[in-house]
Amino acid sequence: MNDLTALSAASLADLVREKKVTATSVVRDALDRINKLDPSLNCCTTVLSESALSQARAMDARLARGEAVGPLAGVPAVVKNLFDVEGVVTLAGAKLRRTAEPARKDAASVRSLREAGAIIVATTNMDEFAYGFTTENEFFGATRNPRDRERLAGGSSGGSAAAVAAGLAHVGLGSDTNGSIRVPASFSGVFGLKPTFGRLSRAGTAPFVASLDHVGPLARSVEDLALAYDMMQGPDADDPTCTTRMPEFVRASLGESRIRLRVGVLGGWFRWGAEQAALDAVDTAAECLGASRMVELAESHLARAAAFVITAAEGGNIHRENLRRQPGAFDNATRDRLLAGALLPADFVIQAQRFRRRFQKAAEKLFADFDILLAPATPCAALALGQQTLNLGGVEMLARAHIGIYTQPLSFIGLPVIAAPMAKLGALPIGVQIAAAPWAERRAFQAAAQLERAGLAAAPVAA
Amino acid sequence: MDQEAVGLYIDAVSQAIDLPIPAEYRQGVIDNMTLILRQAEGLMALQLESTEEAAPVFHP
Repeated sequence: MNDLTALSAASLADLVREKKVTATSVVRDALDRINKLDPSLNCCTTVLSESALSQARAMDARLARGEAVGPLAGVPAVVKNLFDVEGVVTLAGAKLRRTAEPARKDAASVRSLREAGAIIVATTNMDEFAYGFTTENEFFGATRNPRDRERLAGGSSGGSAAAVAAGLAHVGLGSDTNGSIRVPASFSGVFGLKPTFGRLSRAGTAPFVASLDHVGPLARSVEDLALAYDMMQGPDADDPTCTTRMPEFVRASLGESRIRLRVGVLGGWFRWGAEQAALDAVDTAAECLGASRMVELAESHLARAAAFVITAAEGGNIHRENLRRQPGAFDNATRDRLLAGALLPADFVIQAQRFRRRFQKAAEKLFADFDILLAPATPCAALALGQQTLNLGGVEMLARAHIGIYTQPLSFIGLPVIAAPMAKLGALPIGVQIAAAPWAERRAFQAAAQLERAGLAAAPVAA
Repeated sequence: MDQEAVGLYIDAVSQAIDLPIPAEYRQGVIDNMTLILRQAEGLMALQLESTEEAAPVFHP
């Protein structure tokens, strides 16, 4: 690893803007690292060497002319392969989409990052159609965890999380329907943000579950996460769920150390089944943030069930035609779930959607007393590649269906959540969810920054 | 959960809505449907108030 890889995105962009290092050398360095490490990690689906170098040279030329460049100037970024990237086929992890036309324009988030100066160096691997928590893709292979290559990177945004952890890029884009940013952030040991539902535009992404889909960034520091998030905010008429609220930038508020956050720890469902390491991570974070007590978010198990139902039904619906015409072309890990979802009675789906309001009100009551609620991101650290089952509370359960038991209830009602990687020396990282009230991302960022300043949350480049 | 009943439901609905389930996938679909239905048992047992409506566009 060289000095450029170890730098934060913010510092790297400063160096590029100050012309102390060229964007071309930064990008060349990232591409060299991808060429060296990705054959064994399998993070990337397409490496964009030519276009990345071309954009970097164009940026250097602009700087030479004295033109202004953005806050992410020259920063290498990777994009989950369900975001449209101009000229690249949006595979969404599916063999079915191999013959699709390349995207004609960038997704809104990709465009925002590029406008801020980021340079997209690769698209990344994922579970098929984002339906999974493992990034073990039947067609494109498993992405390996750079912190232990015999383990899962997590999913479905596993390629982006692992690439950021391995230093192949400084910033990654992911999507999160039930935990697909937070789970790989936990397993791969990086920071991940699932913002408030509707905060960031999803335009130009392959949809999975319109009721629950979010997009968000992954990074190795809270400041980099904030920087990317700030650049992605703003209304977008192309996404009907995207908010018309004014952007609320967070980077400038990270250093507000006098803020006293009211922090609670989620009990009940969010403690059941977790391994001690996950509980220790939460308790360590709670102590650092001065958490006052443990609180219950009532009916969280039903929220998880409702998210499960909506996901299966909407996923089945959106892929219905291909399920009918060419079921054999789907990944074995997703096909049967999507088919079952397509056959679910409407009664179940409507009940799940109606319950959403009720659960939202329960959370609203808690946020009258708390700014932040803490919970594990995953019940354990990264599972082994190919591991089929997971022990939860003494019961062996299917791993794929249960890795996200603590993430699902929170995304079900669209809360903003940062997954912060807590690491003990010599142990695998494990993420803590820092959840805030709707639209209060700033609070989650402030709490994550406190954990980082205390040296408890960290995401160093994997060796 | 009665797997035979789930299988019969899948066979009937898939035929009715023209979403054929090839024989080699039938057991997998039954397993997944059973898992979903089991997960949803508590949810479906809830007596929601008639005024508890779904949001057409969800605003958290």
